[in-house]
Amino acid sequence: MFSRREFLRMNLAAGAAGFAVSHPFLLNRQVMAAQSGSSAKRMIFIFQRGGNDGINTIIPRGDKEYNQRTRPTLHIPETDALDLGNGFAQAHPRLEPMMDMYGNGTGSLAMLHRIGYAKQSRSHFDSQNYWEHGVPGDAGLKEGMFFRQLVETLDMSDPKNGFVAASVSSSQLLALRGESPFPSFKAAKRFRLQGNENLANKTLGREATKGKPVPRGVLGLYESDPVMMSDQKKLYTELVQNTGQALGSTLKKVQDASRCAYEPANGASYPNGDFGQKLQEAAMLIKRTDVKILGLNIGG
Amino acid sequence: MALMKEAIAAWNATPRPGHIRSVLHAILDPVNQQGPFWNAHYQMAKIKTPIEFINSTHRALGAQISGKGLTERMSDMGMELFQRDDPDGYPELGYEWMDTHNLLERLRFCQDLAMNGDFAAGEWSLQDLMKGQDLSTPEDIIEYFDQALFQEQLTERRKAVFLDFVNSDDAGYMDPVEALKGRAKQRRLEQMVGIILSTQEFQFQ
Repeated sequence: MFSRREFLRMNLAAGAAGFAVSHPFLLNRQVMAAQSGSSAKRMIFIFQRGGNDGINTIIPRGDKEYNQRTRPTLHIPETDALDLGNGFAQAHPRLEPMMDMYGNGTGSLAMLHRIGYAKQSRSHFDSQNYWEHGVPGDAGLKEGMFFRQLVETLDMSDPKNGFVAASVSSSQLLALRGESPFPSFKAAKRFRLQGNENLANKTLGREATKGKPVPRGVLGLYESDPVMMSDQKKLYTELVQNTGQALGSTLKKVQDASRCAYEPANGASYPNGDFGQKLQEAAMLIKRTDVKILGLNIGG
Repeated sequence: MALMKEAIAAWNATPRPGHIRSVLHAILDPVNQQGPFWNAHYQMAKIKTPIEFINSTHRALGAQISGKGLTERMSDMGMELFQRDDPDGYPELGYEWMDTHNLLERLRFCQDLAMNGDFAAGEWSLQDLMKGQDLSTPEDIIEYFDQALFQEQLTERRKAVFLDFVNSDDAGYMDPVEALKGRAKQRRLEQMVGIILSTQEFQFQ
C-alpha cells in the first residue's frame, strides 16, 4: 500500500485521472450534472487524508506573507515554482506533469486553493469531517453531503437509484454515509459470498421473491420484522436491515460488472498495491455500471 | 441525554465535586433499576466493531484460534489493528461499521469459520458441540444458539429461514437434511450454523 504522498507523486508523474476536489460549490455543480438523466457526466472524488502542505502545493505568491522569513525552510523561490498565469498563484515544481491539463487556466484542470470555512477548527479530524459532511461546526454529524444531496433530489426507493453512488473503500466514506446505505466495496473480485454460484445464491436468498412464502437466506434475515412495533426499533435497526438489503442488489451489480477481466483503456497503467487496484476498479465501474459518483480514500 | 444530565448533576452534587460512587449510582440506579441504563430499548442496540464481531463469533462456536489469520480478517472488515490513522481511537458508533463491504466481510467470515474454511482464522467442531450439548436435530442446534446468543429472543420468522436453509440443497431446492448422511449432513449443518451467525441480531451487542 502506498501513502497519500506517494500517490500524489505517482498521480502527477503518470498524469492519471483523479484530482482531489474539495470545494463545495464545484461539488454541487458536479452532483447536479451527475443527476440529469441524459448526462454522461460522472464524478470520482478522492479524499487524500493526512497533511499535505497546501501552501506549497498552490503557492500564494502574491501574498506578501509567503516569504523566506515566515517559511525559513519551506519557502520555494519564485523562479523554481510554476506560473499559473493569474498574476497571483504558482504551483509546486513537481506539479509540472499536470500543466498540460491545466493549459494555463483554459484546460480541464481547475485548482481551488486557500478554501476554508468560517471559524476554522484546529482539529485536523473535525476539519476532515466538515469537508465530508458539509456542516462546519457539527463534528458529530454522521450524514455526508453527497448523501444528503442525493436523497433530497432522487427517489431512493426506486431500485434503479441504488447504485447511483458508491465508495471503493473498506468502509463507507462519510461524504456518502447516511441512514440508507450506498454501497461500498474494496475489490469487486472479492465482493461475493463464499462457495460456488449456486451456494452463494442460496446463502443470499435470491430466490426469495420467486413465490416461496418464507423469507430465505441473508435477504430473509435482514428484512424488517413485520411484527416489531416501531417503538421497539433501536438506533441502528434500520441501518442494519437496509445494509443487508442493499448488499443483495449490490452483489449482483458488482459481480456482473466484474465478470469479464477489465483491460485498462487508453494505455493507462495502474500502480501495484491497494490504491492502484481501487483506481482500476473505479475505472471499470464507471465504464460498466450506471454509477454517477464514486468515492475513494487514501491515507497520508 | 437525560442520563448524561443526571450524571453531571451527581458529579456536582457532592461538597467536593466528582464523587465517583455518586456518579455511578446516578448512572446505574442499582436500587430501583428504573433508569435509562435498565431500559430494554438500549440493550443489544450497539453494533459490534469488527474485533468484537470476530471475538463473539469465536466464542459462539468455541473455536480454537491458531495462526495469524484473524488480524487479516479484521483488516478486511476495515479495522486495522494498531493502524488507525486518526488519534481518537476506533469509533464505537454503529454508522462507522455498517456498510455493504463490512457486512459482506462479516458474512464471509461466519461462513468460513462455520465451515472450517479458513484455518488461519480458527477452527471448531460441530460434532463436539453436538455431543457436548446433547444436540441431535437442526432444531436443537437452533435452540442452543438462540439461548446462548440471543436470550431466546429469535422470532419464528428467523428460525424458519434457518430451517429452510438446512433443508435445501445448494441450488435452493427442498432436500431434507435428515435424509443426508455423514460428511454431507455435517456440511449442511455447518452451513446452517454459518447462517445463524449471519442473522441481523448477531450484529448487535
